[in-house]
Amino acid sequence: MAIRVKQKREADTLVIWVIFGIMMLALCVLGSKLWNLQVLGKSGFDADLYNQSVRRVRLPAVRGKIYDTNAEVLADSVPNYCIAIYTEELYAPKSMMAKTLELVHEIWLRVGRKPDIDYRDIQRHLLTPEQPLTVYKNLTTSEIAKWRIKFEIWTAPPRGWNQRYKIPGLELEHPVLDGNIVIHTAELKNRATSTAANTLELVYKIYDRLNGHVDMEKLPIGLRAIKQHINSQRPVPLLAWKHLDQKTIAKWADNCADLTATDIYCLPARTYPEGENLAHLIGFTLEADTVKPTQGEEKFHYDIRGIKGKKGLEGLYNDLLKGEPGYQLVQIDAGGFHHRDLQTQPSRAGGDLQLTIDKNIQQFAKEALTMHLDTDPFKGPVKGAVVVLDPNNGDVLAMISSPLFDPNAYMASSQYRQMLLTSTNAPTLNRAVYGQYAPGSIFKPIAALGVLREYPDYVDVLHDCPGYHMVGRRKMRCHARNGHGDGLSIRQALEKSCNVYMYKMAIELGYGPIYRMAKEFGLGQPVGLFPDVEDLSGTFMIRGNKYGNLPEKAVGLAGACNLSIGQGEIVVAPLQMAMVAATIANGGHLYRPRLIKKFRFSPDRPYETNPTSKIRYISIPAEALETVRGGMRDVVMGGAEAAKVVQVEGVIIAGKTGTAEYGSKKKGKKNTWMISYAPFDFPRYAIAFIVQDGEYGGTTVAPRLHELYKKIFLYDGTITEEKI
Amino acid sequence: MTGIDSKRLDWTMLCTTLLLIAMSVAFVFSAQYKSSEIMGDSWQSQLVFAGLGLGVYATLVWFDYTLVSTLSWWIYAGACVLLLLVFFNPAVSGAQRWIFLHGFTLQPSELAKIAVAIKLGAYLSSPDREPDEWKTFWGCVAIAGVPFLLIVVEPDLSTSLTLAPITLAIMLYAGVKRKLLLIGIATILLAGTTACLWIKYEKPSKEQLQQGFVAAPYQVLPRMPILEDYQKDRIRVFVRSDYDVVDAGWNKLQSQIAVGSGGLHGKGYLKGTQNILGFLPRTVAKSDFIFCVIAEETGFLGGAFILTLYALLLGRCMRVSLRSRDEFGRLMALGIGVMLFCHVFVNIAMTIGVLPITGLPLPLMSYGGSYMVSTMIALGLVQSVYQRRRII
Repeated sequence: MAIRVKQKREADTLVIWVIFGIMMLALCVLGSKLWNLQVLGKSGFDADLYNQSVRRVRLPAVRGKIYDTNAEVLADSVPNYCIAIYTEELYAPKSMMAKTLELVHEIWLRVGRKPDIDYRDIQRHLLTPEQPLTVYKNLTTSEIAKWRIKFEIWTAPPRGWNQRYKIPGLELEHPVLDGNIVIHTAELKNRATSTAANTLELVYKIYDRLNGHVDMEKLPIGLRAIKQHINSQRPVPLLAWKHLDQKTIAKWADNCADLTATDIYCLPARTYPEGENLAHLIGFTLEADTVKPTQGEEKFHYDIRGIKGKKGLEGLYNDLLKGEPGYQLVQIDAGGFHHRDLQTQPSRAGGDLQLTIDKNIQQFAKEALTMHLDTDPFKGPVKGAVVVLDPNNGDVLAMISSPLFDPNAYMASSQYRQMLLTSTNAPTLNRAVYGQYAPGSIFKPIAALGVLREYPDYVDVLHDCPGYHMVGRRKMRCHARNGHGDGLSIRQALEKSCNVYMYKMAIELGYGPIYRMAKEFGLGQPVGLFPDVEDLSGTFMIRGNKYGNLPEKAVGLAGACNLSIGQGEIVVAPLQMAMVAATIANGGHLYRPRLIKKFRFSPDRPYETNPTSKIRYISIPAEALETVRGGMRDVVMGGAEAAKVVQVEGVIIAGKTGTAEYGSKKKGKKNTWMISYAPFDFPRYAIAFIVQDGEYGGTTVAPRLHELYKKIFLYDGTITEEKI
Repeated sequence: MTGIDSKRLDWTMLCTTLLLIAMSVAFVFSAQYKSSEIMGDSWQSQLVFAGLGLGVYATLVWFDYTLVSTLSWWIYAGACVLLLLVFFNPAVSGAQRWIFLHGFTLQPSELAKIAVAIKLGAYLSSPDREPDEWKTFWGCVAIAGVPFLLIVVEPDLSTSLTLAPITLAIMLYAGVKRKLLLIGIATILLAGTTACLWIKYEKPSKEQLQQGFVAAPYQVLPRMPILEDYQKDRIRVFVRSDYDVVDAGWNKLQSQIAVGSGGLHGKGYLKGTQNILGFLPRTVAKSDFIFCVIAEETGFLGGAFILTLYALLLGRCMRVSLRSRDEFGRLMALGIGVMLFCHVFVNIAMTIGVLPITGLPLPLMSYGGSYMVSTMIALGLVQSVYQRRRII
């Protein structure tokens, strides 16, 4: 037998070497790939890592305050107490109650009406969980049909499966039993609870303890909102109840102290101690919108939303008041749970505003405007506005518009907001600034000044007033049916508010002098108090860079005549007429109205003064000024006209009434005006006062103006109680 | 020839093994310490498994490996029976790969690979075997084929595929139809590369162009009959970096982010954020993705160190193969070396995105009892061959 001895061949060891070589080569490939990934590509992966595990949470800033001229608070930041639920702490399995409530809510979402059982029923039922629980009784056929469809969708097999999804607690074959929906709570026993279920149970618990019972329809937050919160912003507390009052907080402290995962959370909110007095001027705040990040700005993943100024000064100076929201960088894990805080940038409080408004004068203006007179032809709230300026520097001392609204109620209740929106009186319109009205006779001082500046001799020209004047074939009337008599001077024409004198003057001298003066007084032009008046261009009665309207050219003689008595195409805002009164009072200095006295960008910086500025100086000859002022003084102090009711013992007041027709002649709608300033020799107040749909300036506005002057002069010490 | 002669031990290999085990315990701890409340302390069990493995290791070194050759049929048959027993056990996520003993799970496919290496070695090294005959060739194919098919049916494609390199390496060395094999390997490699490129770069059809497809490279996949849906998904995830990152592509993406963000030095032991924050799923971090944890926490230096250790270990295995006293030892050591290499390469390659995600664990490092013990059995056998090597 031959024994074969296998020869060791060279190729055999070569195979081992080759295999070893391949192995080493492969490991080198891995090494180089590792180098690429870890050393060369690190920054890209770092960014990925950061993006998926670091979240930015906004911390709202405390909004700045608004003060009046005497440093009384007009707008304040107050805490808005909320009951917060920290859903992160609610992931651990809790109770049968949570599971049952979740199932009941899931069914509720699909049936669409309130279940026929309540919280206490479920509590009672869970003593014997083996029994079936009837959630809905005697459903109508349409409800059953809806429920069946929703149930089909709910239990539809997932993709790639052919078996319908079994919902624990519900029978797959019998979603409805004799018109009832029945759940088997025993089936829920071995299931884990979801965070949403635990949150829901906690909401129920708190509600029960706060109110003593649970009305399932009045829960502050539903299952859907809870789920959405958990999915999208788990590390942020879920604010279930907002705007808690002291009583509820006390109740919460008494009854809910032993509950975990819930706490009182404080959001900044706004309050206006003066309420409706300054609603139009200061505006209000609402919950800020979730803003899309503008370029370069870092995104907030989780937003505890702050508040944002919406109207008035709150809206206009939002950037100054709002402060800088802080942020917190939070590292979260794959489940969205809070892992740790990486970095916290505290929020910076907003800046403050101090206004020129005196809240007392504002209060007087409101009282005067909204008081009711027996002569008032209108029903319901007074519609109108008052602007009080300091003629020496243009400071706005008071500015009110009626009907009023309460900003605190506006922020708190959406029903109130809805009510205001649908009201035909436009209560949220700031008539003092945005109202556009024909001035009527209060324009006459401007017309007179315009003529007297260019024709100083006109002071001696006398006209007769027969009660009407024929302009071409058109008979233009004076308000005095039988005329003001013969030989009226311009001063008397102002005192008696004679239209015929104005017509004759306008026909004689043309449109030019009156227009030029009106233009110098700033009519038809922005005044720069609210820059967004200019932004309104084209949306309102304002087109182009205009505020109000002052036609450049008159249409025929009638146009000139109309302008001379403040009718026709000319429209003004009460603010503009207050400026006119102030300018006549101070002898031609047209000041830019100033509302902001001082401001600061943050509470730890000093106030900066907002300087007074003059739009222009209108050069008016002293004689012309004296004539017109005299006429205005006679209006109030002359004693012949109804406007004498304005008089306040011990103070000389100048003024001019106005009754401007608007709309069709038949309706006979009239806006009643007065412009006025006082004291006559050293004016401190210039006022424009309008009441819409009044009777006459002298009967509707004059008594109100008297009320206002009396209170102002009592307040500033010009007169004392005994003098009245 | 029983007994351990410490002078004839391959200390380098043993020390490398011990070092790898030590690192395994350390990083299994790092991977699980955040979730230990829920899942228990895996590092302790890993330590126990390592101890158990070392016991088996010592026992195997003690006995002469020729005993294994003698018992090769029994071992092989035993492995096949275990593979059959798998089908009497419940399926986990659609696959029957495990035997559930009391509080212990066994994955018989791990043992089957060693059994195949032993059986092939014994079969080819028997003195009357003529290597270059068709009969021998078919014998080899049959020995590897039975467990291969059993594992494919489980199904566990990736594990069964590792049988191929083991078998091929042993057959090549023994000289079984070497030319045929080389041509076969070359053909398969060529076809594979072509298929991969085709999958990746297949041009859209005219209809698709009309429908507005710019490039639809993956349309061939849905039509492949053999692959399961999840396997198609894995291939899609592999060729497309943005495929279904929320579900199928999640592990790949997160493991790449973990490795990539490690940098040169790593984030420090117990400071791997991907792992701590659970983006790297906690169930796989300590097993299949343990390299990911290491690379994140120790950076490139740590990863390269691990690679070097494996290179050393594989080198020692090959050295044992060269120095073996007889043909059986040589073949067995070679087969085991190739087996370990396959696991190391495939596991690390999938972690860093070079290969599709598969379920192959990293030898000596991944958490898992039966795999730790079976690796120690394999290394014990190699050490046993070295104990009784030729003295040059």
